[in-house]
Amino acid sequence: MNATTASPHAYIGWRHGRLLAGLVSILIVATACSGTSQPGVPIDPSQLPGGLPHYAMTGERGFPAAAIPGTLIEEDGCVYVASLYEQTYLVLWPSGWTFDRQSAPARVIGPDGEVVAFIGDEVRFGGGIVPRSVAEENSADALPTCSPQTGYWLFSGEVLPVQG
Amino acid sequence: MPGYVPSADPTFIELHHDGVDLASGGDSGGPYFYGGTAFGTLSGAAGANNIDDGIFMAANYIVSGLGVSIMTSP
Repeated sequence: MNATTASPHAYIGWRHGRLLAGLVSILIVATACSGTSQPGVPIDPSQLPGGLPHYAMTGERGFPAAAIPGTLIEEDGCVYVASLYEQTYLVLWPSGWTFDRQSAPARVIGPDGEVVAFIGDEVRFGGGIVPRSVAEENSADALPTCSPQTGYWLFSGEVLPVQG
Repeated sequence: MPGYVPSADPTFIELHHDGVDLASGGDSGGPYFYGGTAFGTLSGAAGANNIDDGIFMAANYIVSGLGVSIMTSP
């Protein structure tokens, strides 16, 4: 891992072109993925595409690089991570992730069809906490009628090993 | 400004190195330094697979914003 050392071969700069392209892409994707929901109008989570709230942003805009260890839980059809620090976050998922409510226990399916976790599993997800304003701005659909106790977890799609 | 930051005064800097993972989940808060020079603290990741670019906040904003000093030795 070279995360703590700046290489002399690296280049530094906030790439405005990429940012602009990312913003345009987000607008296009947000428009294309709006489905039947109306922005700002909460909807039943079971009616969301794939049964999960997805975001429309891409890696071009960056993701927080934190990690949350906790338990995957479901309440009223919404999927949360209840952290080890007694805080509960509604997870915002990348495109392609789905929630299978028909299995027992219910399970989260990754973009390649693999089972990532069951409800009740200990998990450790990459990403970070974002306020509701960021969640709303980047959501592919209207946010579901969920009541996150603490906030929203913008899941980067990185499933990290659970530490014992 | 990274997409996950609603608004902020500090400048975020994106660091890229082809084929090298610069940030991963759990790295947030880690130091960015080269030799004895502190550049900042890691905030996020971007690029392909969200890991081959690192996003950090420059050290001068941390010093001015928090009123702290950067120590280069104990």
